[in-house]
Amino acid sequence: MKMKPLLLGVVWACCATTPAFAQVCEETNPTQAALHYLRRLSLDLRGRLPNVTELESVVTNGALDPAIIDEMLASEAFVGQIRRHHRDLLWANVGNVRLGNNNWNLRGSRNGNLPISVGANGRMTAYRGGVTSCLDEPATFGPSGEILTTPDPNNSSLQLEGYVLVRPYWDPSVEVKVCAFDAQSAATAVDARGRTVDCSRTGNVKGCGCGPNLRWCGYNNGGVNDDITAAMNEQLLRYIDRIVRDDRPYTEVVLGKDLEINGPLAHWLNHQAQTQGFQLLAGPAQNYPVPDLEFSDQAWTPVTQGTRHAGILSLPGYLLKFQSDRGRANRFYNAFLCQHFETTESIPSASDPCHQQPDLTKRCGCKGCHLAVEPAAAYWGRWAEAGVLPLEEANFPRHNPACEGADARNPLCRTLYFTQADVTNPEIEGPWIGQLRAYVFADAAREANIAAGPEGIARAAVDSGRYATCTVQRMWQFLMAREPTVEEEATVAALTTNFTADYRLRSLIKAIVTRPEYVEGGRFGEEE
Amino acid sequence: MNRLAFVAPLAALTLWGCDVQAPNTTPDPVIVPYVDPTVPDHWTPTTPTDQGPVDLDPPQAPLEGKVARRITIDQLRQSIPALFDGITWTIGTGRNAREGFDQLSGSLGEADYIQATNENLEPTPLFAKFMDDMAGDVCAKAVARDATKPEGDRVVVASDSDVAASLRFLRLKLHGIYVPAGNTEGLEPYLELHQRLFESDGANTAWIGVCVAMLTAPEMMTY
Ligand code: HEC
Repeated sequence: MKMKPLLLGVVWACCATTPAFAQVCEETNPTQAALHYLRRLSLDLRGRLPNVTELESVVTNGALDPAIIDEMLASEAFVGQIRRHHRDLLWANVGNVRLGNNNWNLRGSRNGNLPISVGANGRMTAYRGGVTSCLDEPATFGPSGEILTTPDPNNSSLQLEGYVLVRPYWDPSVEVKVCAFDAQSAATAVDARGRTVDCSRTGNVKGCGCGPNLRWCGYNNGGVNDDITAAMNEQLLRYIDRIVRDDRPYTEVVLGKDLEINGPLAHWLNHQAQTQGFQLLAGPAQNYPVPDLEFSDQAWTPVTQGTRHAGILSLPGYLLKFQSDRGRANRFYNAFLCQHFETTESIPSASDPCHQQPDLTKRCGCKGCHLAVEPAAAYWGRWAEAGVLPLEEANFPRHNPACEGADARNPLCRTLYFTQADVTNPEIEGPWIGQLRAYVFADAAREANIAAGPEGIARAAVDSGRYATCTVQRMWQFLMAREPTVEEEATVAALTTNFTADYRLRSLIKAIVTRPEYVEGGRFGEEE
Repeated sequence: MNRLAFVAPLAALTLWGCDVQAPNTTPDPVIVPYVDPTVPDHWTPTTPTDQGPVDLDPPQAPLEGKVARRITIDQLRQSIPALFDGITWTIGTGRNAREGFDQLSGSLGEADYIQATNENLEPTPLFAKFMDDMAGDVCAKAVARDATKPEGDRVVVASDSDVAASLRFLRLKLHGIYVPAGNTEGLEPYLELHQRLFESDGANTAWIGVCVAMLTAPEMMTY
């Protein structure tokens, strides 16, 4: 049935002239006001409309029982509402981030019955002499365990093996057919030139496969990669959930030290993050002990974050959403300081020689912002960009002579260090060659920021009071559906003072939803 | 369509204000059926010039409380099954049935933080269209289910015999507006609609129609 909605509007000409009608107001206004207050509270604090029982109780009592506000604030639905707020604030979705290249991704067969294998040319050619998968029959092995192959009847240059049954890391309860070459589990193998290679890092040597239980390879068809990015999103949001649920100080969102990790994330860090070479910089060295969890272990295990960690600011869900140090700083300013980089300085024409200056804190037009952007970005200077990797001095020295030469083309140098290939203005940039990128053009203040890590910017934000003011503004906007006005500055200041005493988000929200601006809603400010 | 046009009827609803003490007599409610020509429906585009006189330089900034806004898709996603005993909007049938709010999340303006970082809360024609679909689907299923349940367990037709009582129930549940027993303030248009549909298509259609009208009304969609 298709039905046009009927728009109904009722104009209440309340209390106009007749004294008789005023009685209606006397009786129904407080009830009606309380009903709308309940509706607002329920939608904002629990994300849904009140139920009939709750509405009827307001009708019966003619007022809202204030206890219901505490009840809502204590509910899990409230935690969910605050989660939604932070998802908005942090754009918490890294679902589009590519975790691995094709050389490390197993592909299923269309009908689900054929053996799975890596679909990349490199591996297929190393295994079978060309771009093809294996035979749908059990593999056979020679006397020393070597995989036996038969020539493809249609193309004698291709040598095809059969499949073996493997319990994959993503679901050890089942056995799946996997092409025997892809299923190999050796830790090392000898390549065509006789060198021994690490199979967890080498995607195109015949003796190397996906490792024990296929652990080094992703499996897009099985949603394995999605499980990992979903875990990154969830890890970020549940970090904040726990702070809100347990009424811990809201400052811990950026200063806490207690992350949780689950099977997919731990498996990725331990077994897959490094297989990709320098595509996405990550690895098991996370400045906290990455537990040895099975991929299929969906439970969340608490871990204490170590050096350079600061609340959510060093979690994959943040670092991979905002992949550059400047982007990380920019989001921090927007989300937690309620500030945006702006400048009144105009940018001279493109032909102006002032654009030759490579240091953005000195360059015309750019310095208006970058004088502030660069030191803020420096707090993430020892977290790899486009990755999830703390860069400690021991392994990533500030100055790396190996990256100085004109031939410093190894991926580590190219990705993390300032090399000759980056130079546009030798006079100014010369001294920085071979330095970790964050240190290029850094003065003493910026060096201190790099050393402090994101904890430095978080502390500065909290100590300045700006973190508290911004939180109050955000909560005001979340609940009032508008920014505080200039006239409300004193109100916001008072709320901020109270909030700063213990940083309990719940108390702040309660203070706002019990204010007349919220209680009275659209009626606020009308003549009584 | 602009936001003002959408929330105007709601704003009218909140025009409360009492300044006269009165003797204890039965009230004589003043109810004006909906005739505002500036907001004939929620799909006709309107321009700000329709909205009456404006003063660009007001003498003083008026005090403002919480501002009315459109309900979010997620609030609907949570509320609809809670209000309709588990029934929610689905698209497709049988094995292919999908939750409508999830399936159309992007079209309904929800942020995915990849393509869009903010939920679009404009009451766009597309939103209105999908809400018509949502209400049609939910109400048809709820009314059919109600027919198999005792009155006390129903979610739309609270009473078979007393139309006004069912309307009072829905008005409270969906709009948070209390209409005391024996009173029909604000229910007339729904009573009329019910009557009309009842005569042409029978009780089922009449209840679905009323349910759709209430579920898509501004009093439902804003807060
Ligand atoms: C209005 C402030 C502002 C001005 C003016 C400005 N920038 Fe930026 N710039 C930023 C911010 C903020 C970012 C970080 C953006 C992000 O990723 O969130 C940024 C990022 C960059 C990046 C990206 C690098 C990275 O790490 O992602 C480059 C390069 C850059 N700016 C160069 C310039 C140049 C060159 C100029 C002058 C012609 C300039 N900017 C002027 C604010 C500004």
